[in-house]
Amino acid sequence: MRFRARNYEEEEAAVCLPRQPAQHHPLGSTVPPQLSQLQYLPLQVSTAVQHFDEVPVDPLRAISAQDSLLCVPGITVQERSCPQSVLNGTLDELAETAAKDWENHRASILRRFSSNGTIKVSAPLDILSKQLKGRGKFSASAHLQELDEMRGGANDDAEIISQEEYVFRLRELNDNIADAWKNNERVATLRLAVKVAKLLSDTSTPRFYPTLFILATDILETIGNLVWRRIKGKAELDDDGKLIKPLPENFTADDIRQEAKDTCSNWFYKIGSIHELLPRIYLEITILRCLHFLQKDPPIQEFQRLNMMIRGLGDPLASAYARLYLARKGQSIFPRETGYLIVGLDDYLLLYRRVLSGEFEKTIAKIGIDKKSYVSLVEPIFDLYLQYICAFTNKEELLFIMRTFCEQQSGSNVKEFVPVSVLMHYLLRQLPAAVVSTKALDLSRILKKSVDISKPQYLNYRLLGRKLCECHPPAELHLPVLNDVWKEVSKFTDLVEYLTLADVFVEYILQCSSDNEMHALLKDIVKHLKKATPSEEALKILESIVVKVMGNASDLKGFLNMPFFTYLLDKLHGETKKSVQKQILLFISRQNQYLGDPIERDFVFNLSKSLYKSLDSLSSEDEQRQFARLISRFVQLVDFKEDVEQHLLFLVDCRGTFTTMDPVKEAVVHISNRLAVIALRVAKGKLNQHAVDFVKSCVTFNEITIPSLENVLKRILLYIASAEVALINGLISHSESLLKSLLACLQDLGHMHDARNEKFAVELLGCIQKLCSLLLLVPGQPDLGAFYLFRGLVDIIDNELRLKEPLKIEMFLGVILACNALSQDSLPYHVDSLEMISNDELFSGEPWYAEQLAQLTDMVVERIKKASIAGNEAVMACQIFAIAFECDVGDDIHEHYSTLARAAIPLLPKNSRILKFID
Amino acid sequence: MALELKLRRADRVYKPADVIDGCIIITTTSPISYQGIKIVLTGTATLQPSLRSVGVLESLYTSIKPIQLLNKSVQVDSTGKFNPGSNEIPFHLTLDGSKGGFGGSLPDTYHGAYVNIQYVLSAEVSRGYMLKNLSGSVEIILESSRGKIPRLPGPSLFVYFYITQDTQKHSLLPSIRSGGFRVTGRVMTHCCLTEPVVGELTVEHAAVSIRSIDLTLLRTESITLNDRMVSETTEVQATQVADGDVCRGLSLPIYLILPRLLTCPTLSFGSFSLEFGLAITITFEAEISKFHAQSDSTTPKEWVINNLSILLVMWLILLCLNFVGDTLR
Repeated sequence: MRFRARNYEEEEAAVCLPRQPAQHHPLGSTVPPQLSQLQYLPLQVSTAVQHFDEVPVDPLRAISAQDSLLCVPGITVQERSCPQSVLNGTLDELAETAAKDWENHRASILRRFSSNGTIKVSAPLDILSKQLKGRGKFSASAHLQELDEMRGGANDDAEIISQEEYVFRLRELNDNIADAWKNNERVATLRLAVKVAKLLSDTSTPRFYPTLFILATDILETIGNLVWRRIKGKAELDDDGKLIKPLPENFTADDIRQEAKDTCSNWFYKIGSIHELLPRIYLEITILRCLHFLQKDPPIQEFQRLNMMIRGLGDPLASAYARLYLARKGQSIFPRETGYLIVGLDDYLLLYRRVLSGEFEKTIAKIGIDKKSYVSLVEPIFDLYLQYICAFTNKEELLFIMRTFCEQQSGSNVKEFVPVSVLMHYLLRQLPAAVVSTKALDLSRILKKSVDISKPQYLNYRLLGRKLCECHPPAELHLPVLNDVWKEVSKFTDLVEYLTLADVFVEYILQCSSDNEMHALLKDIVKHLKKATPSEEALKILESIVVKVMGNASDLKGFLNMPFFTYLLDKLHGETKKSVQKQILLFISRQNQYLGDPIERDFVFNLSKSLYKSLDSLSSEDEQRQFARLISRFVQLVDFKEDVEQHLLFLVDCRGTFTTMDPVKEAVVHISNRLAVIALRVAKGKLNQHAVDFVKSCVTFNEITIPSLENVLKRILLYIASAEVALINGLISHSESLLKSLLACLQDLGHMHDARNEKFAVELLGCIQKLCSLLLLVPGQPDLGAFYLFRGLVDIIDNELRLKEPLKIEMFLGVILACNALSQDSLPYHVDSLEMISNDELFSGEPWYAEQLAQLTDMVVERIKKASIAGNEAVMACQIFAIAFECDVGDDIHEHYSTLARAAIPLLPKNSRILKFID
Repeated sequence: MALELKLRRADRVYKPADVIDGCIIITTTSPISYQGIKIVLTGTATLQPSLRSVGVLESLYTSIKPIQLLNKSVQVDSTGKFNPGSNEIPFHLTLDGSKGGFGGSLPDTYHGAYVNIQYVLSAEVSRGYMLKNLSGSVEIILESSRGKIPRLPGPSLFVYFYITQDTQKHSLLPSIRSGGFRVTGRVMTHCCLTEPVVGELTVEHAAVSIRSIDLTLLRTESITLNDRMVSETTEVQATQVADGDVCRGLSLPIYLILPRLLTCPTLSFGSFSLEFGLAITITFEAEISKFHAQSDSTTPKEWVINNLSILLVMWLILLCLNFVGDTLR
């Protein structure tokens, strides 16, 4: 056969796409866009409306401002859509919105206060009917006896039932009510409703009270709806049940006929005659909505009156939840009205303060609960009230509310006015960040004073900190606020609380203050850490502080200098230490700067070593991979400048330390290759013995390192890379030994790999092809023959590797192309080195060279002939044969070629040149 | 054969000078002839002296004749015949007190303990000689016009009261007497029946914790019997204003809706009179000390009522204020 001669330059020119130099950058802009055109205001999530004027500049859009099609139209701000539109909506809509809102609160109350306990149910559950009629003789004794009974004086016949049983009984009650109503027994329904409401006057199991409240008010709401529907029905239908006229959507009292109004008034009269205060209040609230049938104006006066009536409830729990019910009703009727809410909250605070100051100790002790839990049972009141109060207010109103609740009232007789902690907490939560930041100093002073068991103080400070981070206080207040707050916080003894606040305020400092404050804060943290050993939780918070500080640091040196870190790393242990070390490594890899400083290097090296040691058989694969990646990145970033020998020693250290981490070893090998090339560059031209020795040591190092990798393919690639480097440096024997090791490796591979692993096989194919292209450059040995390496390769492919035929064929085809290249007068590429001479220069003209090449090629072609090829391989084979050989009719390869061509016919396009060769 | 009176107004509430209209429904299986249909409206005030004031024996043979307030009849139809099935005869009459003979307006319907003022509308179908007459009746409720009284602004119509341990005539427990208490407030004593009784009540100071504060609506019915006036005070309705130990210094509202048939405007006829009052009861939580040791059942102390009566006005309710302080287990 004859090899086809090839002109590589011509071929390249033929396949290149036409190119033109560009005048200017196609993505560049001529005129910068006006920001106002691009203003778009995001949807707001906080309660107050805030407009953002800054636009995050999008580089692509910024360029195309000229093009109006691509301009983003302004999106208008959407306020809290639900209240605004609904306020003008009908009562039904308001009720629905409020109901949805209430669902969330209801769920959260149930979740938070769910308890499994037993409840004492006393006999008065069944006393009912006397209440609604006028009493008989006015007798003192009878009256007092009744009072006694109703107060649960009948302790003897109290049963103790479980919570599920209680709920079950309530459900029964609900069913009874539904039945009674269906049978038009409205008086009976009312009686049962009063029974349900009376349950709420029993606060002897406080933990169950919130759940009871939810269940009872659900029943009451159902009744309220029934009454509403009945009166509405009365208004729409006449006495015989015929429809007169359906009421319009927004009906008013004028549209209602007299009979319906009478019925409505009757309900109110009936309820007004209930003796006990609490059921009367609850039932009146339940049917308050029906006042809409009687009067046009919203029932503000009634709300105020009910508000004052609730003052008559002396039990803190009952009073709180009654107010909750009132507020909830108010939300469904007129959400914007806040007057009664503020008055109600103020009233309740009087009662609450009495609880805090210890007036109810005996009662609380009797019912078997500790004061803190008792006080926490009424938290939903503050939450809801402040939420409703602050919902629709603008800034002046918010300031007014703050003044009302936080400052001394002129008429009050309290000596030292201290705002209640839980109130401050929820107030802070509701206030928009802008208001908080302007009033930051005042708020921090107030928080200092408000210490009581209703809410831990640190939670309030944390809220304050977070709001300050959201919206920075005015510049002159930055430091004073920080100092004020920190004076208090550093007095905290509980480490977790302290650290939580440190975490928040670190962020604040990062945003608003300078490094001095940061150092001071960190010193303070260290001081606190010295006093107590941190728990798991504290360690986690410390980790987050470290991350924040590191996120802000510019370089490793900066924060290594902080005594905080050295102390911290000493102190830490376990998971947290690993985390922090990992963070440091992440930081380094993110920084992407070379580490030149030996101290830093040692520090990070030790760190990595400790991380490596912490990995054991129980660590997850993910973790192992992550650490390996981080450490290898670190190794890559180490920079010794020109001192290549030190660098190599460092690499030896690395290899010795991180023995099982493949990525590290890979990195190490690559770096040593790089060093070899650097050495070459440094000693450009004059290759002194020193440099040569060094390069030899690099290569040897690689030779030793590579076999220790686990992944075979990686090994192969590394061998190829190292061989390249060796060739560049003129170390022929080294490169040969590397290549021989590679072939040995392939041989071993043959025994162990799985023929069915497709992906592996394809990757292996790629490696082999790369190997072929490298082998072009390797000069042959006179005694072994110029192509002994090729021969070895072919041998291995043929015999050792267990691969599917098509892949083997492809590998052989690669070899054929290499042979073709070798047959040219000059190789397509050479090693850029003075000492390296490739085969074309070594053996050109030698007759045995061509013979040996022909032998090799024949061997391969025979091998290919032996295989039956079809499909894509056939096409590929045809193409490569066409490239590599002269396939005219006279050549002996022609026959083989036409066989291939025939096999490839189904896949060839009609006008393919290959078809011409077929007879 | 059945006779039923059905009034146009479902709630059967009429004012003087209103027209009462409705129909008589007669259901019969066989045709009936009648000779006259008459509607009679009567109003009576029955007085019953209480057992306490007159004694059992005396009450047996002393009965006070009911006072007739109103007697009016209207002939609806003269002779006719009813067909089988349901027959409806409409009627109407005006409610006026011209026949009452009292010179004033008719008193409102009132069902009390010892005094009862009732207005009954009855229908009678006379069948003729020897045949049983058909009749039926229904009570109507008379309410005089409930106009609003012109309220003068300011507290001039309010009556202020205060209750302390010194205002009590009965003995109190030492703990209460030594600690002391003071409850103040005001009540609007002139009000009309459709409106609630309003006022305020404030516990200014109480050393012992309070269990309950109740308001009791009282009625005083006085009957002239053998030239002497016998009065009985009974309770109409009780309403709780405070439950548990309320905060000091907060004013609690008094808001009492007056029950319908059980109250009527304050009035005094020749032979009887009706008045109303309000009692405030404060119940304390006090431990009985060893010296006054009792069994665990409660023994209430004696009640004493202080009367502070205030002026009455026609067709309005007026409330006397009574103070009651009480000690309890």
